This record gives sequence, C-alpha cells and structure tokens, in this order.
Amino acid sequence: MESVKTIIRNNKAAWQQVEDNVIVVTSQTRKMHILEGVGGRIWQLLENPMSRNELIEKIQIEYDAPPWQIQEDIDNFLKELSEKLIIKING
Amino acid sequence: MKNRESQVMDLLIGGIYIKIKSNNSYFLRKTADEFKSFVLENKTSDYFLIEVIDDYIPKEIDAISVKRKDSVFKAQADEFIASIDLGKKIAKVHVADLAGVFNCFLRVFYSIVLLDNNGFLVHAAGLSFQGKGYVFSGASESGKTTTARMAQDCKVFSDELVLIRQINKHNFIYSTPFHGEFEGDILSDCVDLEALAFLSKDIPRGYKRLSKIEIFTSLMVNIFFFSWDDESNQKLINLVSCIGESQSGYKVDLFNYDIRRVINGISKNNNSQ
Repeated sequence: MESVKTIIRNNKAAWQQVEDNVIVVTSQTRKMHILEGVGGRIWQLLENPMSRNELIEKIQIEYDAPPWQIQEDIDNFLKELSEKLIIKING
Repeated sequence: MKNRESQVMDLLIGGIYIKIKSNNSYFLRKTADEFKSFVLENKTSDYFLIEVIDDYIPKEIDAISVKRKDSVFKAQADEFIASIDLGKKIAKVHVADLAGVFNCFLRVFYSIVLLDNNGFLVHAAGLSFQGKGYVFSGASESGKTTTARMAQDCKVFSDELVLIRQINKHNFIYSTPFHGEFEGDILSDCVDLEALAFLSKDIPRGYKRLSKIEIFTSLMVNIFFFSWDDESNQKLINLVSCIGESQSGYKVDLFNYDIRRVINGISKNNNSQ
C-alpha cells in the first residue's frame, strides 16, 4: 500500500452527508455504504485525489492516535473502499 | 370481447395525473373499477400518457430490472415490458393479460416518475389521524397490514406502499391504490406528514425517537426502488436526506403497545421538541 500513488473517489457514486456520516451508493454494487466518523472525513478529504501518504498526514493532524495505528487503519479502510468500488487506487 | 378502438381513462395518484390509453375496453373498465377512488374527474392538460398493449407473453425473470438512457427508462418484469420517457411524458407498456399486472407496472412506473417529482414509494402502512399523516414502515411480514387493520378512527392510506412527496419544503403523504391484504376502502387523499415510524419489537413505552442517520438508513432500506443508475441514486439520497432532516422519526412497537397510545406519544413528543 505504501507504493500507492493516487487515491481517487468514485466520482459517479451518489453520496450525501448525514450528521457525521457519509452515505455512498454506487450503481455497480447497488448497495448503501455508511462511512462513519473518520471514514466520512476520509471521503471528504478525497474530494481532490491524493496519495496514501498525504492522506495519512492529514488524518494524523486531526486525530489523536499512534501513527502506526493510523497507517494500519487507513490501509485497511482504503482496501475495503476499493473492494466496494467507492474509491479507485492508482499505482 | 375486445373493442379495438383506443379509449382513455384518467387517474390521479400522488398528485401526478396519468392518462391511460388502450384499445381493450374490457381492460379499461376493469382498471377503472380497481382504481375507482383514484379516477380523475377534473382533468388538466399536464399529464403523463401511458399506452397499454395487452400482448406480452410472460417470461421468467429473476427480478424487476430498470435501465436508464438519458430520460428514457426501460423496465422489465415477468409480466410486462415498458419504456418510460420522462422528457416527453409518454410511456408504452406491453402487459400480459393477467389480473394485477397493470397494478404491478404502475408501482414501478411511479417509483421512476416520482423521483422527478420529489417523491418516492415506501413499503409502509400509511394512516391519517386527526388530519396528520403517519407512516409505519417495515419489510414484508413486519406488520403493515395488521397496523392498518388495528387503526380504528384513522383513515388508511395503504397497508403496503405509501407515497411521500416534498413540495415547497413540506412533506406530504398520499394514499395509493397499491395495497396488500387490507380489506377496507382506501380513498384518494393527502395530508401533512407528522412522523415516520419504523415497525420494530421490544421498544420500551412503544416508541423511541431516532437520530437523523437512523431515519435516513431506515427509510432508504424500505424505499421501493429499482433504478440504480448514478443520477437516480443521487436524486433519491438527496431527497431522503431532505425529508429525514425535516421530519421526526421513531422506532415503534405495535406488537406490545396500542396503536392509539403510540400515535399520541409520538404526537406529544413532536410537540415538545
């Protein structure tokens, strides 16, 4: 995951912010995905494509957790979003 | 005996006027009887024309499918195939000559057309009590028909699919001819929506107020929806979000609590917020 160049939102996906959550619906999966808390924040940050490292830096500034924990959580989360076709990972 | 000359009849459902054209006079008579409360008398010039042709041979299809290209939707089910042009407000449907097929098509038709009119159909029992609308939503076997049957002193709007629209930032509930096993009369009607309720069990006091995200997700999973293209998805979640933001929502237990008590509790809770 460290070699990942750019993370891009699925810009065709329908989405909506509801309280602290982001709801994403993709026509490919026909499912509603709820991105809670940090997940919703990651979706917001990905409004502009960015690298994994940039994303981790931004989350580290905003959230109080050990860097290794943030990196591991973000890598797992990005993998999950990619499998659900919510984001595309280039690189 | 079929009369091959085209005839028309007019229906008004959810504030949307449709003109049904068919050359089968028996079909039109049967439809007029089935939808009698929704037959329109004061006609307007703004209508959606649906041409019905009863020549479809039923085919086994896994699920209802809807595909979109620009403003044209193609819908297919076991017993009908249809093209619905939202831009031209014209639909053409080939139906199998079987009972209930046109009703089934109209449900799909409205699920598409309503999105362009700030509305949707939701799996729910709809009730009007003292001029206020209550939606009791839930999946199959959740108790919608039982709710409608229990609702004395209430007008029943449906026991299966209720229509919700937002007009000028106000939410309204409309009755529909799309019902389940409820035996009573369902008349054409529309009232302000007072609360969205989701049928559940084991709720202390019989009702529990929901957060906005709980309202959103509970409503989304119960909406009657087949058009999974990106544009329709975005329209739907924007609308559900607007309605969820402006409307109170509750989880309710009508298995263990009296419906009037729950409605009174919801109404008091709404007034105290």
